[in-house]
Amino acid sequence: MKTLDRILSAAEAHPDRTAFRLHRSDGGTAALSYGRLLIRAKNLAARLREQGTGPVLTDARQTPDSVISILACLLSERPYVPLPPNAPPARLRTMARLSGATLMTAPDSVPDVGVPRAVPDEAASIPPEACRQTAEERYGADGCAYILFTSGSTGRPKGVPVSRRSLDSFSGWIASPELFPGKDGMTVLNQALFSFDLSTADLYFSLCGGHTLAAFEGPEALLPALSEADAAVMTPALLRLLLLDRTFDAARYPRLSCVYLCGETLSPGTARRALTAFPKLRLINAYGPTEACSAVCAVRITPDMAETLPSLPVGDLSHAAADIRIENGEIVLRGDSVFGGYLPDPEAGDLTRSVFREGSVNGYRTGDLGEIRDGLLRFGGRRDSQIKYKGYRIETGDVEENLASVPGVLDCAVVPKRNDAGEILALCAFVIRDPASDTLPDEPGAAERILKEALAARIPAYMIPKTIRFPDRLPVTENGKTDRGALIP
Amino acid sequence: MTIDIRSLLREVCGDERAGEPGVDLIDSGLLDSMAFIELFTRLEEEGYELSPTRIDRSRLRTAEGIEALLREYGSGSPSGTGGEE
Repeated sequence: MKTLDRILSAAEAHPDRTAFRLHRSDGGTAALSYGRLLIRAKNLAARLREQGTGPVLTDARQTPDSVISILACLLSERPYVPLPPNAPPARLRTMARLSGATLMTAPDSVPDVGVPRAVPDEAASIPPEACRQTAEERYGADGCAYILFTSGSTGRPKGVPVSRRSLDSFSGWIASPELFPGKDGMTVLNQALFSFDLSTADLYFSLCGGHTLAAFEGPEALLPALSEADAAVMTPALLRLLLLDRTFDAARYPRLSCVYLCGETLSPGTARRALTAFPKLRLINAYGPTEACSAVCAVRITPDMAETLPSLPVGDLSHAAADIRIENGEIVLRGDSVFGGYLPDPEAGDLTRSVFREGSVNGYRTGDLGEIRDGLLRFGGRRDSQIKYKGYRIETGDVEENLASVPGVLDCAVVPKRNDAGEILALCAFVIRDPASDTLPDEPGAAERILKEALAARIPAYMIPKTIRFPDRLPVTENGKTDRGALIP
Repeated sequence: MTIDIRSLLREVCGDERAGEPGVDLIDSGLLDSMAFIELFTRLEEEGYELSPTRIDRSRLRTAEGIEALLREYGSGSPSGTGGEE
């Protein structure tokens, strides 16, 4: 069944049910019923269809209008491109340009990126696109549901278009009984911005099943939102934070029966603690890249696994959303959930190496190392310098390229600082000053401030190194490459 | 207090400045979300059971503020459990 058909039938069956609720930092809430969602999305979709077929930039923040825009895009067969609020305007403009977007439905608080704006409730007509193509001419028969951007190793964001066929495969999988409990009318907590692929799990599980998606605006609103949730989708880091609080347990949060985790590694310690505080909790550990809709497999973590295993499995392959194999140690995905290739970007070099096609089947070499034992997938790190920090996927090369583009920087290297458990605490940059330039002051603190300001205009805040040091030289390997392993952050 | 909060801050924030007197840990970005989680994990390992999701963040602005919080906690004051509102 198609994602859109699932959403429409759920909305028509429960017009009075709340589709989306935002818990605000001031204690208030903003709610949207399925009935209102459908009316407003259909109105916007009619205007989107009239205007053209190109991608539509939407606000990635979790608001009622964002959910309306997403559904309107699905209805009008125009891809949505959620713009993250934590990215600087220059990077947003690159995303707008790479996506080929011809319209934006985001409010004025999202910076101007050079495409016309239309807010969901505005009556005024939108100027038609200069270049009209049908959706099929633009994207092929599979269509494009949305485009998310990830960090690219060449210093530019990398666009991941996800087809409607992939989304249909994912939304069918996320509804499978092995994952969330099969209760009717649940409230599902959302943590992630719609630009973060983790959100596809809660958004599509919730809308396709006629559940209520509950988001929170700031840390103050987290606990009120959580106290109403039957299920929650979050990163292991947020779960770890919640569990530090001894009052986070089944007695005080009796409704919470399922936590779905994805986006980074779940440690056995965090799982143990979760299952002690919530003995009946359905704790789901999921795995997958943005290139396959956010997750392709998941496994329920049992107390026994949490007690005995040094590292937890990330998927039970008997109910996966893709064909998952280990080839030369690497996790390789094939199937409908897998995307068909990155958005072309002439300035980003070869983006096709990890993508392949076998007949009509899409394939993706994830760059993740893994192994399969007893039908369970285990994650074993990365082949390259990609990291997961604060749940975000970051290519340290992306940070390095942007840092190297700042005047006064001759060379640089960026390495993660980890704690004893291997979790990343911070990014640390090592910068060699350009002796021919006097842009950077000699005083390290002042130079660091200038570099951080320059980076803030280039990359999202979570990618900016916390510490910048100025050694006399960078260590090199026998091959003459920077030896990042020898740098101690 | 047995714990050296300044050296702990230097460690969890990954920066020497985090232990310096008067440094604003929040405005400077030193005590970001990951450092925050790590700080509370380490404090818990040292026997301090605080409730980080309920704590008033302004009390974590400086090393001195965190020291004061831990002193309250150590003396058994109920406000030291993280300020249950």
